[in-house]
Amino acid sequence: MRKSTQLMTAILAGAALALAGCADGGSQTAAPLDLAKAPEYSGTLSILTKFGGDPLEPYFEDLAAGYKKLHPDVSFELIQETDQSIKDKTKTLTASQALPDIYFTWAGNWANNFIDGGLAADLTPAIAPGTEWGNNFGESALKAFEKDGKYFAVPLYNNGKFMGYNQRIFKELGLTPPTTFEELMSSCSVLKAAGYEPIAFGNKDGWPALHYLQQLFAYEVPAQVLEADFNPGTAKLEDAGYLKAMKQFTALVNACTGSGKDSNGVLYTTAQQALAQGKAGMYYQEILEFDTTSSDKSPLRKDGLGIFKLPAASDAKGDTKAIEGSPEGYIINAKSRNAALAADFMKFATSTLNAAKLSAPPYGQPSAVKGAVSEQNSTSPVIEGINQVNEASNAIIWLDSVTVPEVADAWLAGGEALIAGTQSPEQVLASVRSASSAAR
Amino acid sequence: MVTRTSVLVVVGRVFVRAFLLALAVVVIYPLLWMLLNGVKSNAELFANPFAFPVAWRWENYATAWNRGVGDYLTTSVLVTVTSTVATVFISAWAAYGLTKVNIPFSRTVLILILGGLMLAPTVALIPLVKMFQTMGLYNSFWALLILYTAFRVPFTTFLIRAYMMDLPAEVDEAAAVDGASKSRAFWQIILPMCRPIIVSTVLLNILFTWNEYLFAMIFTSGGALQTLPVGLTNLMSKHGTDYPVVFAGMAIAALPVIVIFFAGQRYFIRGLADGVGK
Repeated sequence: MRKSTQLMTAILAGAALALAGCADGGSQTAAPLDLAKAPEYSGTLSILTKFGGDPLEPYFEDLAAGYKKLHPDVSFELIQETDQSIKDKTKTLTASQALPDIYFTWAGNWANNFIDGGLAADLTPAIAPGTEWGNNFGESALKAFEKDGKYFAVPLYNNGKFMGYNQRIFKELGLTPPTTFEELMSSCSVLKAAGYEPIAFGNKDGWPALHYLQQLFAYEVPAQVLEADFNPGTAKLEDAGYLKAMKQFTALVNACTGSGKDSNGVLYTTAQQALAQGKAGMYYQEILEFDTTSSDKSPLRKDGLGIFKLPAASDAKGDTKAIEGSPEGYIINAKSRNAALAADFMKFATSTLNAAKLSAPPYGQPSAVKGAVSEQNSTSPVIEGINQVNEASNAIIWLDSVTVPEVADAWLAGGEALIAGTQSPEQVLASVRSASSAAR
Repeated sequence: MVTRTSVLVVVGRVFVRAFLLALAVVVIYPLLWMLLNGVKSNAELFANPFAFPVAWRWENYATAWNRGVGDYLTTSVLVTVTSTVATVFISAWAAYGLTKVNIPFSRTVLILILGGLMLAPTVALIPLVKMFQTMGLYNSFWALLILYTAFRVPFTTFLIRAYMMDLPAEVDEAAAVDGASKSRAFWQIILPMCRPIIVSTVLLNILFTWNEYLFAMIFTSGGALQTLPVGLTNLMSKHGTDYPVVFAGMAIAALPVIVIFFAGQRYFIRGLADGVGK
């Protein structure tokens, strides 16, 4: 069921043409949305969500029904897609100039394409930090969709990457959550000696390696340099921190994982199960995975899932308080005739009540609204993770979405090569640099 | 007395049978693996993917059904049946007109129809989305029906026309002498004679429509309208997938096509072989 390259090429070409057409010869962000104007509570709101499939699908249906109860003249057209289909659907709708009033977005390069193409309404007057609506969100969540000081999307739920560990195994072996990268490496030896796989790891999809690398880059490369390097226009990719981070990653793969150089052939779900079944001591995972890894039926639920931030080396030169992760959000179409109504609906969607509902089972998507994740609706690792994300000095967007696709692909190939041992960190950095120059 | 030739014949037969057996294993094993893993737990699947299930969890099939596979199956059956019937009848009519009736510009019509074979669906995707949205057909059952029929008519016409061309002209002449109209000759004489190729094209269209992903993914959304290939991806999530339930869903999805194919394989092979010989 994999989509063909043909499909991607055709859609991308169309999307590029559509965006180019909208951009009028260059980057063109939309004028601020006139939110002072009261919405007209009538008409049809179209929404493209990433809530397709079980168990997420009813969430937006219930939201629409709830809003309709308040405003009976408003009707909804929901296009609900899944992780697998949302990219192709969005690209096709963009190319056909048929984007709905509200549509899903990832942070980073994906959102920037819509902002630059003039397809994202400028929500700054309504949602910037300090505004009534904006104060409901953590600042790092809002900043994920900021460009040139303007805010372009409503963050719906948050995410971050943490090392999950088996509390029983750690206790039995007298281990405590490591606070430095060196301590993490020593705890691997203890776990290995006791017969456990220290860190379960599977990189068949490519992005698990990028998640490690991005967090290590944030620790080892000064924040301003890192930020500049994400953009091919300003990238130099010369900082020694990149090489140090890649060496740390290679050392971790070789010393701490059971699959080592063969990790490129292991599914991340296999690694997830190794922690869930008590066979591995640790597994690096997203907050959204916590409840799956530690599901009711898993031995890990009994053993206890603990989390800690991937520790930085004691001599790290970057931002050691930064955390990798970013919210996912919803853009209001700048060309929508119902923009004011769409903004009103998104305010409704991010109200305290609906945010709490989103964070609770069966949805389990930790809302980006402050205080929505609580003991009443979430497990303790999720609460701890979200609190750490909200308190982090900086939320670093995933490496495969923060930069342009050409550079992301070069990092993806580089991560696989580092694991397999076919390229040195210097060679990987050189190929990323060359991809970045080509994308300039 | 054992001759050299008879030994060679026996060795040859053993070799052919061993090859066919190996081929059968290559085809059947993945299906069996899917069926077996559909009754395991997620933990069991990842721990021992090639072992027999410890406990047979048939409830995975019920879970898959309740998580939407039932709806996807209904949609798939409806779309497949209607588009196959529409495609085969339109194509058979077209083929009859092009081979048995003297119509003006028949060569141009033939080129126009067969020209459809050159049009890749991906190329037409974006204008089709725009057109269907304008017509109010986007995200509807009609969208899939129209698309599947339109994109399958050229190839189906090509196959049926090739078969009809080799039917003896005397049959048409006899029907005409007996006073049968062109329409009656089509329904009562030509169409029954084309049974092998009709069954073949029906099977080919069923296989195509049942497995089609691109149009179903782009032109529909939400559980009520999605077909099995798209619906099954709804059972998977980046942050946690119950794989045995997915395998159970895949087994349910594969079963009807396997049954239909086995039921019609005699006609399928005959129809295509006859068509190729034209």
